[in-house]
Amino acid sequence: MGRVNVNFNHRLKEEISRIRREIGVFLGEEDSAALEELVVFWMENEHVLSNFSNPYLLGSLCLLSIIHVVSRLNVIEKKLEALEGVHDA
Amino acid sequence: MKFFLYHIGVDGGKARFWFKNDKGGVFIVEREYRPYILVRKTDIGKALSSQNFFDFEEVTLKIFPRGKASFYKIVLEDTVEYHIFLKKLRERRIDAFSADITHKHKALAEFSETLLKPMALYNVDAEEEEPFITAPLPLRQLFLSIFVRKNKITVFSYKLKDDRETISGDEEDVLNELEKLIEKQDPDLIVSNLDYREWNQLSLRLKRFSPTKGFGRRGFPLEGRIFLKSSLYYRIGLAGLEERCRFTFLPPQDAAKLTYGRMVEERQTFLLLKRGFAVPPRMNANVVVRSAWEIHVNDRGGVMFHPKPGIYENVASLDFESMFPHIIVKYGVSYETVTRRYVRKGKKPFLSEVVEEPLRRRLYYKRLRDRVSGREKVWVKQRTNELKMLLVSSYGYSGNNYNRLGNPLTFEWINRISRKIMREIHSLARRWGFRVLYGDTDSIFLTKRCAQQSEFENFAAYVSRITGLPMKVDKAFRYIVFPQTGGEKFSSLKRYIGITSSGELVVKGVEAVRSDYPVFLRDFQKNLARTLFKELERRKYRVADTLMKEFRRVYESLVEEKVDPSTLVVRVKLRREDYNSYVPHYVAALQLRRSGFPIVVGDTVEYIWVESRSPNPFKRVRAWRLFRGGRYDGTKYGEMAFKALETLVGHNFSLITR
Repeated sequence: MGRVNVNFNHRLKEEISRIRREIGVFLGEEDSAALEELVVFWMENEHVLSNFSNPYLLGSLCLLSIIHVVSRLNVIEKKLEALEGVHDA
Repeated sequence: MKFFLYHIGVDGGKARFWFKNDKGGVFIVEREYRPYILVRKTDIGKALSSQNFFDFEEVTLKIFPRGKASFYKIVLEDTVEYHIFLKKLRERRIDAFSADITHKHKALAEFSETLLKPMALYNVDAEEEEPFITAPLPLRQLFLSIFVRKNKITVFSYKLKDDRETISGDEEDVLNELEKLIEKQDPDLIVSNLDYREWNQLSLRLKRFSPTKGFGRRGFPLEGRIFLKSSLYYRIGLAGLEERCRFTFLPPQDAAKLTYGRMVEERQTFLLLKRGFAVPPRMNANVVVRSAWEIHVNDRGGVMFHPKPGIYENVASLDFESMFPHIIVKYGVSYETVTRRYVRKGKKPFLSEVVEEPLRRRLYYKRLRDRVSGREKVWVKQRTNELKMLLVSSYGYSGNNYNRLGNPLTFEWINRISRKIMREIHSLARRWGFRVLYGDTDSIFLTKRCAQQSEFENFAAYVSRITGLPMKVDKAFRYIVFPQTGGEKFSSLKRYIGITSSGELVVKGVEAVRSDYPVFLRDFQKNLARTLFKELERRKYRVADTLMKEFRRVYESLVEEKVDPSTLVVRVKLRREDYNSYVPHYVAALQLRRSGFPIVVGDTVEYIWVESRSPNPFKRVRAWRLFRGGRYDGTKYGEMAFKALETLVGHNFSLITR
């Protein structure tokens, strides 16, 4: 009462189901698995998304995905450096 | 001597205040009551031409939120004249102040200088209220079941201590017997399946046969006694009802029928009346003009952290005690203090006054809850539960359109502050080396390898100190499972099963506490969880075999129909008269109705699965009362057992999540 506001969880789930419906169906097996991995990451970070004032949900999902990719690249880079260190030694 | 106010009757030009003393005696104080309406000076010409009135005077009163204004106080002969006058004012679109308020509140506000609370015990000598009592006040009670068919009462039964008796006959005899019983037993409180409106109809029917009689006291048709519906009596209890009365400043008869939002409204109205305000009309535009961006940024709920599915070790749940009411009091958030940019500092804000006393009471009873047992524990629980609902509603109702003081910014500021606090806690927890697993508005689940309980407690104490809001370790879990949501790799909110360090199983939202799961399967999931946690404790991480063995045993006994069918009964409340589809409990209700059982909305329907795959929905389940032995659908129950197993270990059979 007194406010009209769409539940964020509901909005997020709707957006994810739209992405799955319109993009996911055309993706190959590996890309589809990558999308599902992103979905898990988005859902686990729902509080981050809902706290972000950006009104465009798709933009927020994109930004979060980039952060996720960069963080995984960093992990791989570190592992690679460690392996190179072992190799050099 | 001690006394309490338990009923107020207003009619004609009189108000009667019914009191009980601690010796069981009843006494009435009768006062003249002339209802009044306040009209702004500018509207007085139009208002006075509308009707005769008893008296009028010019008064200057405070107006909410600030300032004063001159009004004409128009006093009417009685409540009938009052309603006619009010209707005419509305037709002429004249704003009437202190108008849409109950007569009982107006009468009570005039009755005493102090804040006299109904259902609060007062000491005559000290003229003081007994602040924290646990047991409900002494009311003589009578329990009745009355059967009304085609508007006629032909049967009633009553319960007195261990005696039960049923009276039947034609309506006149039954009504007379009922009146005699009530007069003889002289109860203060009548608990029955009828509400006050239905009692009023009965009383009118009784008058038709015996004009001088009534169900009330001292010749009044209904006055002097409390008529309560049994569903409410068993839901909130007498102690809960007392808290309602203290909160709303209304006697039980009136407080019982209100929604929680209306209860907040009543409390605010009475406090305004007592503080000498002209109470504004209820219709309130309740709109703050601002940009869509501002609404988007500010109008949000509490912060939620979704848990990652898995089994976690050494977890503590930390809770703020009554977070929102504390924010209202500590930060002074109120209708008159909030602006678009900040919360104004000032003297005692109004909303603080609304929540402060109930908040103090809730904290007192909440702490008492762990120190009492037996009946006392039940009463304390009834009080804390009701106070919790009232406090939560005070926050929720603050932005409501029907709130006469409502201001959506109040509601938003409470949420904004709560979000800010939760963000701070999140980063603080990380600085302390904790991992945040899950958070839901005012609670947070933290984990840290090898952390002692004292470490979590120190963190809670630190948070309390820097936020000024009391936080405590609610539960310390040895292990906790956050299950996956159906088919997805993430978890839902408010869904977990864990075991505390003291061995207590804590279950939320999973099959083990779902009403559409039979007792047998609920126990099965709980036992499975205990086994899982026990094996983990023994550091046997490959628990799959043990659990599968247990599951197979149960599954086979279900499929072979060796389980006692009475433990497979599902109990679901019928919430609607008609459903769009033939859901199992609706089908069972229809089966019962066809067999002559009177099933109404609110009843719990019991059924058993007999042929879940049948294309005919009426063959899938059988109402338990109509089940005459025979076969049940063991495969369906087996599938349900598998779901219970999957919830617990679906994400990972053997490992603790790191």
